Amino acid sequence: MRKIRFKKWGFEIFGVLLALLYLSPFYIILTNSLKSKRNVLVDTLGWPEEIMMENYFMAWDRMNFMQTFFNSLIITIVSVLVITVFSSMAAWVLVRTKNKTSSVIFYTFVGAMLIPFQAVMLPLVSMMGPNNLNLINTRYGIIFLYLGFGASLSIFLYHGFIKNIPTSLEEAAIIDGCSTWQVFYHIIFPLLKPITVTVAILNSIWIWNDFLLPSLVLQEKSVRTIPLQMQFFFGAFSKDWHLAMAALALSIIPIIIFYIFAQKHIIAGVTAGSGK
Amino acid sequence: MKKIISLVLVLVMSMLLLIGCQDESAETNQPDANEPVVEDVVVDIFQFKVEIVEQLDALVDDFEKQYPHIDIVMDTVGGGQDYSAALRVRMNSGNQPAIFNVPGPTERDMWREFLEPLNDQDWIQYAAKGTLDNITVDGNIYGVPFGLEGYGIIYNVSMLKDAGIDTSKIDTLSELSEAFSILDEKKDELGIDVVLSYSVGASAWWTAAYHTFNIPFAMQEDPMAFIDSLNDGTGQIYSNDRFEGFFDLLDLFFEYSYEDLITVTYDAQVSNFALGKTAMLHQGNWTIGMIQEISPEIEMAFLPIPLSDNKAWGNDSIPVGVPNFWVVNSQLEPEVKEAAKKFLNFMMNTDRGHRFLVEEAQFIPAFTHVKIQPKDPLAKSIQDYVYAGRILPWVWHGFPAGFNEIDAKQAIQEYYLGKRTRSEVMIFLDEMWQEKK
Amino acid sequence: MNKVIDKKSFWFFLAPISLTFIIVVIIPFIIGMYYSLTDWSAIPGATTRFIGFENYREIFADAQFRTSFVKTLIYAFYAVMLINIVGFSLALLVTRKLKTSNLLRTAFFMPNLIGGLILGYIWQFVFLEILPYVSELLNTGILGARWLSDPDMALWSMAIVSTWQMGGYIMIIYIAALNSIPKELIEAASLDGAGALQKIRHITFPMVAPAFTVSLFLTLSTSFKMFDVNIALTGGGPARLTELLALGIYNKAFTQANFGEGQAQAAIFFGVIAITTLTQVYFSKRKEVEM
Repeated sequence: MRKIRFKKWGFEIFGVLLALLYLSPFYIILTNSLKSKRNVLVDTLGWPEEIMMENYFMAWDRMNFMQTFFNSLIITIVSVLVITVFSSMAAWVLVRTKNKTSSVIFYTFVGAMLIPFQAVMLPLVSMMGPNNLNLINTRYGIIFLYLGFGASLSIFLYHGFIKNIPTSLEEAAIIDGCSTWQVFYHIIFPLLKPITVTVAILNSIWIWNDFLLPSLVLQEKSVRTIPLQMQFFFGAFSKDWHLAMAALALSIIPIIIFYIFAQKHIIAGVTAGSGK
Repeated sequence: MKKIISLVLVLVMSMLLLIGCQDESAETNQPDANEPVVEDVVVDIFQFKVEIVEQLDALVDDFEKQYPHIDIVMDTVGGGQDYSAALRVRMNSGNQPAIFNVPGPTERDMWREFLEPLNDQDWIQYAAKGTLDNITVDGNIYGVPFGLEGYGIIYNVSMLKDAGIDTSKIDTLSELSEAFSILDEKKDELGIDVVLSYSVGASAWWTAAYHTFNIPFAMQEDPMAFIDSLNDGTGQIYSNDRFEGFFDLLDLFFEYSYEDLITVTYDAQVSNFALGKTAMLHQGNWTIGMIQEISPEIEMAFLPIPLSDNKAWGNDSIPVGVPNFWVVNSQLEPEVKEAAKKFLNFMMNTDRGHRFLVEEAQFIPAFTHVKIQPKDPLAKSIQDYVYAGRILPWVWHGFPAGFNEIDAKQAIQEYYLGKRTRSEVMIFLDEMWQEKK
Repeated sequence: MNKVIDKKSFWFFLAPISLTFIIVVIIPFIIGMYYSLTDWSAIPGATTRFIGFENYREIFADAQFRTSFVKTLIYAFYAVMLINIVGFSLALLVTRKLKTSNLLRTAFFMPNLIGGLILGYIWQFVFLEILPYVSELLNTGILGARWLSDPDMALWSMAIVSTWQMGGYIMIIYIAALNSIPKELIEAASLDGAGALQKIRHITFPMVAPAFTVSLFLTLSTSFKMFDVNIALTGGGPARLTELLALGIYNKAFTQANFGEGQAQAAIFFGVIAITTLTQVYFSKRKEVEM
């Protein structure tokens, strides 16, 4: 028994050390976000000569942080919401319907995951313009785009998960007189919780950090997201690393707080599948 | 406990939503309250210079006070982002800007259909000689120069004085080489790591691939004719004496600079010079802000970049050019174009505009009627060269698209790594030119 | 059609996402493929000529394209290996019900929050300053290597950064799989006297096989499409020897303003990724069944 406990402690310590190694680049971000521009250039690794809290205020101002953060937040949340709902719906019927049409559709979705974004970028932008769909410079426009680009991976992940759910439940429910929608909403969707959490996390990370797509369609200041506003710290020649690091810290902190609060729910979601 | 946490979460989220919405409504309401009933003209500006965003915003504010019916919307893409790619996207999206930036002949010809001739604007008469060449086709002048920029070998004045070097005499490659070796001998005395701060890669690759690489072209008897001859296949880089000189210069740079030039970043290149770890720096006047941030009192000036000892080549000169132009989109409605021209006039012809150009944006003015003089030592040094007529042109704007950032960069790195010899590099460059022209 | 989903609800459930997907991905992709057969300049109003397979011929004659192709394969091999080994090990570690599990999970996942230029800046600094310094301190040769200026080391450097970034992402997928292993199975094995390694080999591996397929597919396709870290860390240098295909396409299209050829490269690129990854999926699926 003692040996097991000892081993367990070994893993704890190993894990913490590994985590520290993993997080060490954040040390550079945090310390440099508190240095003067000169201090960053002269001594990147050391402790700040003088704590410059004003970097955070300057970064806040220059990014128009409140508005920008709100844009990132709303675009990420709504996109993830529509992606999870619509892709789980699609994946469910694709798994349960076993015919050629269904598998052709599924493989089209999966195959599209391999399309390099650069290959669709310019034609896409011409289509989004005022002469066609008129989706430039709107939040719902980019949410629509994220639904399209997020479809493949999400359907793929849901598809893999749903395959392992027995059909008996849904068949019973239909016999009890439920409609197809009710079966999905009351029986299937709750069962998908673990994979929904995974899908939501993966999509949030992607959308939150995405630069290329928003840079194409969010051209006006009022709708810009955090990654776009970061460019104001990078001049053609001189780069304000100290402000960029402060801005990065500003945008990471709320997520970490959210994550710590929401972790109980997230973990409950990920582990909910273990019982079955 | 769980309930409390969920409650907090909900509260935080709804607060964020509320704040966001308030911000937005405040923003949309404001113009309504202030604007008179006159119909607004919206002028979209799409520019690349991230460094001057705040200064430009202030200029726009003052302009809008004077012209309340013109609404200027400023948008910037630059700073590590590809402006020309973003411009293409912007044009394709149908949301076209009224004022945008064009750096030189290649892009000028690309966007020719979209350029409004500006010949009737009265700032044209004040433009310094040669500053409009790159934006003129068949007598039509399509753009306003941002300002002038120059580059060369920046040196630490007091350090060279200590080493007993007379900088006024350095106008040939032998003399530069002599100065390098003197400095190298006195390394420990001067407290420097190496003589010259240089780079052929990392975030400063363009130092070599644009700036050094420009010199052998600029020193041709007629640079434009040389480029034309490369284009029609009658001329070549291989065996051209200016390019032989270019490789002599590179050999010298490689000998007296850092051990691994591939990984020297722009930050490292400039700050090492500013910290006094090197005596010289191959860069331009745009480094002033960063250098002064580190050493506010450092005394500096430019040396030319000589390729040989031949006085006829212009070995005593430094390359000075116009980095970019403001242009007006010809395909928009007449009233938008008029308003756009008004804004450019405001920038070029008023005291407020001149203050913006010289003091706020720190450009070296390309116009003779700008009376405010730049104060920083590098800009002053460049002006001295300009007044003495010791200048070379910037010709890379006439190269095939991508030639600098792809082929010249690759060629110089391969030469540095010893993967290709001089003549192999020159043959490679000739081949790539033929492929891309 | 089965009893639960009739034809009407099949299309009803599928419609919203499929229509979006067609408009956003499929149609632009088809337009893009058409452009690969033209000399498109991406300037509105300019004439576009149809030139057949000219662009494709050019690409096959292009030595740089071949270099990029080979380098991409090598990089993908390094990255897929590293990311999956690290991701799986991390998942094993945090599912051990440690006191610090939650904290560790957060820590390993955090690198996903940094992207773009800052990522490049930090890691350049790590490779150029910190590692040589540590190497001097510990007197080891390996850490002091020319991480970014040696073309082969630079590929490893990129793989290391991608692993740091994506390891936590892949970890999430493996965690879900590991958690779905019934506890009774492991308890039974323990009672039968199976050691830790035996349990991993005979229970864990087979049970997470589907997750392997998914993760391999994901890492393979993202490694092929790798762009961010490439441009931020090496910019394709030295001497274009670390210019992977995605960056090559970008350079062709935007830097050299040759959009037709860029689109053609993208088409070939798509073909290559499709063949490789689908082969991978095919083989690992077969493995799954065997296990």
